[in-house]
Amino acid sequence: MLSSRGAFIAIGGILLLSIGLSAKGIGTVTTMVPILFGGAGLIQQTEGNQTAGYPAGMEFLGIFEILNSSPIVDYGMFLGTILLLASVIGLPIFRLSSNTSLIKVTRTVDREKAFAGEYVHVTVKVENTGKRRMDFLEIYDAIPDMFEIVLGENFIITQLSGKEVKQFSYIIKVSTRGVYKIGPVKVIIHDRLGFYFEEDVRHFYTEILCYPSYEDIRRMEALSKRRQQGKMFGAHRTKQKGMGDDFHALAKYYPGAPFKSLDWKAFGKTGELMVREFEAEKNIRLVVFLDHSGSMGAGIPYNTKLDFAIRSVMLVMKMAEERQDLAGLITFADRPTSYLPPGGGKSSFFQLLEILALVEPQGRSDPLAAVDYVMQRLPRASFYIFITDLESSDSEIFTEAAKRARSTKNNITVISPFGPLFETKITDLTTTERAIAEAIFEEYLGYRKQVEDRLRGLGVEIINVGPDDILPNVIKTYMQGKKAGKGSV
Amino acid sequence: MPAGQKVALFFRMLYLFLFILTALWLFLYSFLDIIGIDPSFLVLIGLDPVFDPSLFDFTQVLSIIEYLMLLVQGIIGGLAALTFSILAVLINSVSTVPFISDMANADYLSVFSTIQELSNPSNNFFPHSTITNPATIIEDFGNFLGATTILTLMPITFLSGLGFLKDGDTKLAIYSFLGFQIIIIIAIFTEKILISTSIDSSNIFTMIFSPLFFMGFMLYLLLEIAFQTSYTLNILEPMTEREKRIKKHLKRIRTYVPVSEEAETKAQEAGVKSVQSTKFGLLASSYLREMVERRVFKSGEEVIDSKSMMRLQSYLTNLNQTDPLTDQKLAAKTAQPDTSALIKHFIPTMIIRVIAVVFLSYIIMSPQGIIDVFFARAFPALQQSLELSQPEFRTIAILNITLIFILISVILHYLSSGRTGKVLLRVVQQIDTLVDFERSTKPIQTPGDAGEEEEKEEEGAPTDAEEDIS
Repeated sequence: MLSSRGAFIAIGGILLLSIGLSAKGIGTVTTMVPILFGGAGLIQQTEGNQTAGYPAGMEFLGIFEILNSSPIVDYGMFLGTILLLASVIGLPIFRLSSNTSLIKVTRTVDREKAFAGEYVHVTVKVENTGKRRMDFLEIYDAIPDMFEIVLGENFIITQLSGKEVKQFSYIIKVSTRGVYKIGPVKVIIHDRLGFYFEEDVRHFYTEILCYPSYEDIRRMEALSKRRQQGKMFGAHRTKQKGMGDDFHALAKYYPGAPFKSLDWKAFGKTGELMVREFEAEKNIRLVVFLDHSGSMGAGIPYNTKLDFAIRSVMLVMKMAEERQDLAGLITFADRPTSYLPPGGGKSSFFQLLEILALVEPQGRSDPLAAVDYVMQRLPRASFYIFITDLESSDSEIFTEAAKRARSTKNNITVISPFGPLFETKITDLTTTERAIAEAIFEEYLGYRKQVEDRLRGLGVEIINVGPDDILPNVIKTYMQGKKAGKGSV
Repeated sequence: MPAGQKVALFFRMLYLFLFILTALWLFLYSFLDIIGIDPSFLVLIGLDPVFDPSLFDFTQVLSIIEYLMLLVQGIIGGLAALTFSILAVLINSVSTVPFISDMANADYLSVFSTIQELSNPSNNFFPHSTITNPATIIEDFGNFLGATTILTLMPITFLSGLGFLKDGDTKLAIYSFLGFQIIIIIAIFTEKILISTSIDSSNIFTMIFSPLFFMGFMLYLLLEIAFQTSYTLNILEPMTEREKRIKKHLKRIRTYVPVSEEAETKAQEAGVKSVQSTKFGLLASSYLREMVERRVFKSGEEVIDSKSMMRLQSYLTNLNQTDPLTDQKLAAKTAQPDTSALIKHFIPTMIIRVIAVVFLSYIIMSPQGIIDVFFARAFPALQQSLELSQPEFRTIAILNITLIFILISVILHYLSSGRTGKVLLRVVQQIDTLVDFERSTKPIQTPGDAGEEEEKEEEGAPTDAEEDIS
C-alpha cells in the first residue's frame, strides 16, 4: 500500500507531468488562436505595440507564446516521470520481501494476576521467520486505557534481518480491578524510503486479572505492627467470661477451678481464695451481601459506590480471616452471581479476591433471591451484613428479604452507601447547584426513610454512609457484631 | 558519541552538503556578479533589486489592475447588451398578452446585431482598447510576479531544507524540493534562467548532463538522500533516545531514597523552637518532601509518589533477580538497529534505485532506441511515427510502465502470501478424494467413531492462541 509520503511523490510526479502537458497544450492554443480568429468578422489590431495576430481582449495569450518552444514541457515531463517512477519502482521488491505473515510476535507477562496498584512486566518477542531483511519495522502492543506504562515503551521501531529475533519490554501499572486484555499487536512494515507500508493486526491477547487494591489491608497491617497492639481494632471482647486473655473479674474459688487461676494477691488482702476470670472470645459466622446492581456503579470513576463497597468487603473479610471467624460472601444483582460459603483460610481469601475482581455493576437488585440462596445453603443463624444502596429495587423486596432472614434468627445490618454523597461534594457546588442538590437529597432521604422505617421494624439496623465513612462503618459493624456475639458459632 | 548518533550525523552532513551545493548553484548569481566572477554556470539570472529595479516596480501592479478592470467592464457591458436583446425577443414572443405587447418593440435581428457589435473591438464594449500597449503591461507584470515569487520562495525553500536537517521531518524536505521546482519553472517561464535549456536526448548521458535536466536530476537526488536520511533518523534516533531515557529512569529508581517521616520529625525537633517557625517548618518539610518526590521523574513523565516508587524499586530488583536481561529489554537495547548495516545498504540501494529510475525515464523520454531494437519488425509503422516524440506518447508510456510495476507487485504479493499453496492443496485434496477409491468407498462412520476421530483431531490441532500468534 502506498503511504502518504509515496502518494505525495506520485501526486507530485503527476502534477509535474500535468504542468508539462498543460504547457504544451497552452502553447498549441496560442499558436492556433491567431489562425482561428484571423478570419472575417474579427478586426485585427495592428497599431502601436500590440501583438499582431491576437484579437482584442486576448493579448494576454501573448505571454504564453514562450511555451511553444519552452523547455518547461520537457522539464516537467522528465521530472514528473522520475517522481512517478520513483514512487512505484520499489513496490515489487517491497512486496516480495515485506510479508507481515513472516513476522512472528509473542508476548509474555511475569504475572497474570495482580492487585490494583501493582506492576506487571510485559515482554514482547519479535522474530523474522523469513530470510530477507525487513528494513523498517514497527511493532505496537496495545494496552487497555486502565493500564499505565511506568517504564519502557510498548512499541519498537527497528529493522530485522532474516531469522533474527528482537525483544523489548515495558512495565505497566494496573490501576483498577477487573479483567483486562493486553493486545492486539500491530505490525507495520515500511520500505526504507517510507513510500509503501503493509500493516497487520494480530489479535492475540494476554489476560490480566486485576484484584481490588490491597492497599487498605496493607495499611491496616502496617498500623497494627507499628502500634504493637495486636490487631488494629483491639480485642473484640464479649462480656461473657471464658478463656480469653483479657481480665474480666475476680470470683470466689470453686472446686475444680484451675490452680493457676488463683489470685494470691487477692488472697493476701481478703484472706479468701479468689480466682481470676477472663473474657471469652467467640467466633462468629458472618455473611456479607454485596449488591452490585447498576445503581452501585454510580459515582466518580474508579471511586464508585461499588468500588468503596468492594474495599470494605476486602477489609472486613481479611479481619474476619485473621480472627478466625467464619466469613462468607454473596454478590448479587437481579440474581445471586457468586457465593463464597463461610469458611476460612488463605485459599478462600484468594477466591474472594477473584470474585471481587470480576464484579461489575449491572441490572437491578434482588436481595430476596440472595437471602433465599444463602439460607438454603446455610441454615444456621448468622450475622448478615448487607452493603447495598437500597436503590435498584422496591422497598417491599428488601422488607421481604429481611423478614425471611429474620425468620431463622439471623442478625442483619445494612450498610447503605448514600448515592448523592458519592457523586459530588456539596461544598464544590455553586449556590444554585447546591439548592438543586439539596432538593435531590431531600427526595432521596424521603424514600430512604420509608425503607428504613419498615426495616427497623423488623430489627434491622441501617447505617447510611458516604465515601469518607464507609470503611470505618463496615469495620465498626463487624466489630460490634462480634462483640455482641451476633451469629456466634 | 553512540554509533547511532554518529550515523545520523553522517547522513545529516551528507544532505547538508548537497543542499548547500544546489542552493548556491541556483541562487549565487548576484553574489558572484558583485565580486566579479563569471556566473554563467549558475542556473538563475540575477534577481537582485539593486541591479534590476524594474523587476520590482509596483506601478506595474496598478497598470495590470487597470487593464483587468477595463477588460471586465467590457465583458459585463457586452453581456448586458446581449441579455437585453434576448429579453426583448422573449417579450416580443409573448406580445399577445395585453400591456406586455406594448413594451415589446425589439425583434430577433437585434440579438444578432448585438453579437456583431460585440465582435468589433472599436465599439463601446471594449474600453480597454484605449490602452495602447497591453502586451507590454502583461509581460512586465509577468516578470514582476515571477521575480517576486522567486524571491519569496528562496528563503522558504532554504529554511525548509535547514528545518529538515534540524527536525528530520520529511515534509520539510518535500517543501524544499517543491520550492526549488516552482522557482525553476517560473525562471524558465519568465526567461530568467541562465543555463542552456536545450535538451539533447540522443543518448542517456547527453540527456542527463543537459544542464536543465541535470539540475532537475540533482534536485531529485537531494530528495532521495533526504528520504534516506529521514529513514536513518526515524529508525535510529528514537531508539537511541529511548535507551538513554530509560537507563536514566532506571538509575533514578534504583538510587531513589525516600525522605523518612522520622528523619523529618527529628529535623523539626532540632530546628527553631518558636511556634510560628515550627508551624512553617512542618509545612516546609512536607512541601520539600513532595518536591523531592516530584523530582524523581522530571517533566514529561508521570509523577510517581514515594510509596509507588519504593514498590517499583523492589519490583525491579525482583525482576532483575529472575531475569538479568530485564534492563536491556526495557531499554530495548536488543532491538537497536545495526548501524553498520544502515551505511552498508544505503549506498548500493540508492545507486540502484537512481540508475533504474533514470534509465526508465530515459526510455520514456526518448523511446526511439527501444522501439528500433525491440519493436521494429513487429510494428514498423510505430518506428516511423512522429508521435513518438510527443508528450502524449510519453504519458501513455509512463502510465503503462507504472501499471506494470503495480501489477508485478500484486502478483508477487499474491505468491508470497502463500494463498497459491493453499489453493493448490485444496485442489489436490479434491482430486485425491475423487481418485482414492479406498476413501471414497469407505463405509459411513458411526457417531462413536466420528467422536473418536474428532477427539484425535482436537488433540493434534493447534490452539486458537497458537494460530493467532503464528
